[in-house]
Parts: sequence; structure tokens; C-alpha cells
Amino acid sequence: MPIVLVGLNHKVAPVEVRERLAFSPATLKPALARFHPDDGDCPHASEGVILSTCNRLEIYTLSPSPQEAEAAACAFLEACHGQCRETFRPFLYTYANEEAVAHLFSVAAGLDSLVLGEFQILGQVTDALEACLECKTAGKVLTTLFRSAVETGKRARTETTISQGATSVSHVAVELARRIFGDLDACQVLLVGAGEMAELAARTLSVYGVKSLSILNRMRERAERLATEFNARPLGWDQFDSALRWADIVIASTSAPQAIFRPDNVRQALSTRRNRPLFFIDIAVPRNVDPEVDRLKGVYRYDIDDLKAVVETSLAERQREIPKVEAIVAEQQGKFMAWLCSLEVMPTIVDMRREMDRIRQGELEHTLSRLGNLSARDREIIQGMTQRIINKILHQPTIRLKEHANVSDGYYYAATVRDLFGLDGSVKSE
Amino acid sequence: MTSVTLFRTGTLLYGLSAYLYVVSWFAHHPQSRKWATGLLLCAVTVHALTITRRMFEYGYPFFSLHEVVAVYALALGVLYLLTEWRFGYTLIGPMITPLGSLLILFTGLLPRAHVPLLSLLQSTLLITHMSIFFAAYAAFTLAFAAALAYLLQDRALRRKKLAWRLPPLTVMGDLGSWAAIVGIVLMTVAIVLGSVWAMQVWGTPWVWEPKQVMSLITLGIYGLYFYARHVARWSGRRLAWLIVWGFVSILLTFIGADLLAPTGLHSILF
Repeated sequence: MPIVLVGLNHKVAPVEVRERLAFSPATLKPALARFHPDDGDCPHASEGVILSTCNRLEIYTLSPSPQEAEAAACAFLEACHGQCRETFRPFLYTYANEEAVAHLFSVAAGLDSLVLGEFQILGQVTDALEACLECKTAGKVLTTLFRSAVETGKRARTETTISQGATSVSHVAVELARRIFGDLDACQVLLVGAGEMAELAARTLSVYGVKSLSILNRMRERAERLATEFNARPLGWDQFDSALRWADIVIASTSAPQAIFRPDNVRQALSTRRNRPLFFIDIAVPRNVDPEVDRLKGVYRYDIDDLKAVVETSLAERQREIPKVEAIVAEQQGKFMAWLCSLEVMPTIVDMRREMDRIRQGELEHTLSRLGNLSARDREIIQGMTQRIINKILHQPTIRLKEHANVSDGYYYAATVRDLFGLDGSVKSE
Repeated sequence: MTSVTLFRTGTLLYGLSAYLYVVSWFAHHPQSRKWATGLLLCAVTVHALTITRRMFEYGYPFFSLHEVVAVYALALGVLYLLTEWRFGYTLIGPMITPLGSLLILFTGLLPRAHVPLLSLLQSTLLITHMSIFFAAYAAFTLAFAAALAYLLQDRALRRKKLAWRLPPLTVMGDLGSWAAIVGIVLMTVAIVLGSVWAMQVWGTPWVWEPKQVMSLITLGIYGLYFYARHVARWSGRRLAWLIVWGFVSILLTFIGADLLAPTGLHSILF
């Protein structure tokens, strides 16, 4: 049965629609229970995997036809979320077979993400598969499909630079700090200002392994509040000058109307520092660090516009990697389709032989009953003849089908044979 | 195995490792980095065997431009592997290994015929003096590569650009300093050994040949670097430039001194 994908993503559906259809880890499992072929809402689907993130909801199933899959998906979503299907149906896209496979592989590679090449989606694809394996809704085909998707995602990220470069201001700041100091473990970080921006910066830095964090604020209480949250050291404004002597990374985000780090006080601090560089990240507007400090040796200063410019550059660089990633997606898709074909071809051969045998048996019985008294030997000869006719007729088609089992057009061969011999109508395939 | 076969194997390994270093740097391929390091380790081992083998084949002591360049390339490989072990994978590998491979290929083009040394020069002391000198040059080459990487990274940072393939500033500063100190120690030892030999043969430790003077200047520049980094605490950029000037001085020692005193004892082509 073909793989069918029914879903919507951030490109086609607004957030109001996406949020109503999203599954949380808690709601996903009860929803998956509906998928079971015997007692579920989706009578035809024998396997199903749901990929639900904040940017997309995609249902992968094995379904006789895309139309049936779409109808079943609508019914399923209606049942799960209590939403009228008219509210989301216009946004749905439906892909079958190669297209569905290519789509999932692109998604896993980060090509379909809001931020090109982001990492999170790879984990989400893995989680989706695991949840469905747990609920036993993912069978052999979809399990292999999702594993190949994860492999595609990993290949895209190791063999190309689609996931390289910082794509957010805080990530850029961290990467720049790494360009200067290498490991951030030993770096002394000083946050000047204890507002929302400082909090965000502190969170990012602790994620990236910064150990020593100090917070300097005009109002000491706010510094203390933030300090307890991030296991940092609170400082009062009177320690401003001495802090500059030991800090490696200074993140300035105060609402001061003019620059608080000027060439004069920075130069003074530098004279007592070792030859260790000093890195200013100025995310305040108006700027807290005078651009003139750029002239000082060993001082690197980035304001918010500089950081944003770096983000744009790395996004543009990621764009350039798209063709390479698409080539990987195409290669992986080819590999998967070949596997799928071999899977389709073998049951087709079995079904074809079974169908011929059914006809042979029927005709044999009919003929023998009309012929009347025959000796056991005569019966045997007639039976042997019918068997040989069938074998000879099916000899070439069987060989051809096996030959095409491992190439990408095997699927079509199998489908044609099924159509010609009417296999799906009379014999229930796997 | 003859030294020729060994030499070819070593060259091939060195070249392959250089290729992998460059590829892994451009393509960001962590797996090939491990292979590059492993191959370089093999190349360096085979190379050391080649030099030993040649000593046996041609009779010891034996020295020519072939050996000089070979010792330099060998020291470059060994010292680089040490820095990689100490400071991790950096741009230095892709910079240094192609240079090393090219130099080894170059020694392959040099005449291989055995030209006996003057009996005056057949001295273990003299050969050690020269080998250590070239090992010092290899260390200074590493320092130069680190300084170059430092200056490139510094320029990128000052232009407000995030350079993905350049190593961190402080690591380059430390690596450069490490290599420069190794170079200073080796060079000092080499000069002392040379003086001891000169004392035995000429009866005087120092003859003020252009190459000797240039070597002193070189050592002076690196001495100044050491002082500036650890005592005067200059900024990283100025320190990097000092290393660059030290390297220029080494090149002048080679090219300039040979032009000034082509018949001198220190003329590299003997």
C-alpha cells in the first residue's frame, strides 16, 4: 500500500490553525490509540506516524489511496481535537509515495524548517517514531521510513554546512566568544544591567557552559534576584571599575542614555589586565559601549546591529548549501524507494501465483467432475499438465519482477501486475 | 626495505594526510580529521626510519641538503602532532602539512647521489648542530602559522565577522608562544653545539659570518617576543606581528646570508 502523508506546516497554515491541531506528548498517545486498524477511526490505515511540532502537523500512513487517507486524517483530527474539518481542510497538503518520502527527508534535513537547517527537527522526527513504536502504530515500512529520515538529517548536517553558522543573536554572541576564548568554561562573564535582555543572555550562556557569571546593576536587589536564579554573583555599581579588570566577556544591556564604557575607562582597565582580550557584547539601545573603544588593542566590541548582520550572513550561507542537501535527500529517497519496491514485489509474486493456482484449482475441479470416470493416473496427468502450464506462463513474469525488485521502477511493475491480474480485488494483500 | 621505498611510502602518507587535513578543514568532516592525524603519525614514523636507513646506506656521518630538508619536514610533523595533542585540532594542521609534504617532495627531486663530505665536516657534533637548528626552524614555522591564524581571526573579529573556520584567538596565542619557546630553546642549544665544534676545529667559537649574525638577530626577535608576552604584556596582535618578523628574519638568514657570503661555511648548499 502506498505511503501517504497528510499534513500542514508553517508555510501554508497560520498559527491559529496549527495550535489547534498540535499534539503534545501527553495527548499524542491517546490519539495514536485511535490508529489501530481493528478498532480505530482510520479503517484502512495499517500503520501511522504523527509528526507534531510547533511548525507542523503531519500524519504518515499506509493507505490505499491519497483521497482515502485525507478523508481518514480529517476524521481523525476532528475526533481528536473536536475541530470542524472546514477550519483546517483548506490548508492540508497530501503527498503519496516518492513525494511523501522526499518531503519527510527534506523536513528531517531541516530544509522545510522556519530556520533553515535547525537541529531540533531531527530530535522531533526521532521522538515521533519512538512514540508510535511504543503505541505499536508504526510498522515495518514507516519505521524504516523514519529511520532513513533521521539518517538523512544526520548526513545533511555532517556532510554539508546547512546547520552551521549562528542563526540567532544570542547564538552569534556565544560563537564570537568562542572565536576569542575557545572554551567558555574558564571565562569570566559580566552582565551589566539586569533587565529582560540580561536574563536571556544569562540563560543562553549557562546553556553553553559558562561557569562564572557576575551581574552588575544600579539597583543591587534586581542583580541579586537574577543572581540567585542563575547561580551568579551579584555586584553593586561601586564595583564597576574593578569588574572591568577581570571580566573577559561583558554583556551590556542597561538603559543608560549614553555610553557607560568609554575609551578612557576601558583603557584604564586594560592597563591593569594581562594581555587577555576583552569582549563587549552591547545589546542595549542606545548603545552602552562607545564605538571608539574599537581602537583599543585587544578589545572586541559588537553592538546589536553587528550581531544581526552576522545572523543574516550565516543564513545566506546556509541558503547556498540547499542544492547539496537536496542531492542527499534525493539519494536517500532513491535508496528507500528501492527497499520499498523489493518489499512490494515479493508479495506480488506470491499473490500472482496464488491467484493463478486458485483459477487452476477451480477449472480443474470443474473439468474433472465433467469428465467422470478417470483412473487415478489420468487425473494425475491432467493435474500435472495444468500445473506445468501455469508454471511456464508465470516463469518469465516472475523472473522479470524479481529483476526489477531492487530498482526504483519495481514499484510500478508490481502495481501494473496487480492491476492486470486484478490481485487487489480478489486477494487481500499484506 | 630500501630507503627509496621507505621514502616513497613516507611521502605518500604525508601527502594523503595533508590532503585529509585540508579536506576536513574545508568540508567540516570530523571523521577525516582522525584519519589525517593517524596518517601523519605513520608518515612521521616512516620518515624517521627513512633518515636512519639513509645513514646506514651511505655511511655515517653523512649530510646534504636532502637530509636538511628531510629533518626539517620531520620536525615539522612531530612538533605539529605535539601541538595537536596539546591544543586540539586547529587550522595549523591544514596549513603545516601541505608545506611538509611539498618539502618532502622537493627532497625527492634533489640529487640522491652520495657526495662524500669533506673530512673536516664529518662530525657527529656538526650534524647534531644542524639537525637541531632545523628542528628550531620547524618550531618557528609552527609559531608563524599560529600567528598568521591569529591575525586572520583578529581581522575577522574587528570587521565584525564570524569566521567559522578560524581557530580561537587565545588558543592561537598560547600555541604560538609554546612553539616559539620550543624554537628558542632548540636554537640556543644548536648555537652552543656549533660553537663547541668551531672551538675544536677553528679554535674560536664565533666567526661573525652573515648567517651567524642573522641567527643572533632572529634569536633576539624571539627573545623580545618572550619578554613582550610574559613581562611587558603586549596585546596579542602585536605579539603575532613579532612572530611574523621573526619568521621573516629566518627567511633572510637563508636567502640573504647565502647571497652575501656564498662561499661561507654556513652556505646551505655546501
